[in-house]
Amino acid sequence: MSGCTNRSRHSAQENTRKHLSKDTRVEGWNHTFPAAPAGAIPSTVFKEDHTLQVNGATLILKHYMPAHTDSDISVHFTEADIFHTGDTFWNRNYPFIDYSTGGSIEGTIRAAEANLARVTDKMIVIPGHGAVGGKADLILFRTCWLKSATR
Amino acid sequence: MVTTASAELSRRQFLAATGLTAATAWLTPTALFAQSDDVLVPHALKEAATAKVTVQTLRRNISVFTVQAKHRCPYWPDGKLLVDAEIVSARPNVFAALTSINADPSSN
Repeated sequence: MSGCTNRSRHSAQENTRKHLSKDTRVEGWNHTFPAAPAGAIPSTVFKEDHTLQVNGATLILKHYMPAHTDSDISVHFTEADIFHTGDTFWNRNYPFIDYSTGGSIEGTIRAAEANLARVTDKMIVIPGHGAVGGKADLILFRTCWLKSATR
Repeated sequence: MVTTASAELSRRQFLAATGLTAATAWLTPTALFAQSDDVLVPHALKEAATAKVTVQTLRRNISVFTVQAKHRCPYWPDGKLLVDAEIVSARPNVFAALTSINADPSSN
């Protein structure tokens, strides 16, 4: 998470800071991402859960078990009832799993289950990729992965 | 007069064809066949630099920015907050979109 000013604060799961602090090789893309500049390194990190109060809104940040990477988090805007899954959910897109940073198929399925356990019918769900959706889209994503994993 | 093409290949045609094939193989950059080329990410970054940012308003001052099917989720009014702001080369266009959603100053 980040703002766009020089005075912005960056919050992230602790593994994100670890990855951004050094060159990271992503074999699936055949690319080495250079270490981020000092100003882009998250200043606030957390391990499992973190709550932010921003302009009267409550944001609950929650770490997944390793899924797409080992530093995936969800963000729940509680008053607006909007749930951001990050790249643990690709709505009607084939997902990329970053094995270089701890991602796995099993973890992706586990994250899909975790998302379904938290999402309600009224919740707006923002995926990492694809159109904004809802619970039905998450169910479809989970079902597709379960079928793939059992083949 | 009707001319019919012979199905047989003359010696001259054979030499020309094989010579051309050999020259093409010799001159083709080996990089085209290399599996180790790093092209995907640089291409994506280049595309993102000029990609259009679309803004979709959801609830309670929360909008979704989409750049090349990648979502960013800003929140305002007093401050501006981005969740999952990933593609660094799209920064100028994202910055412009942030400025467009309200008049609060942003600096880059």
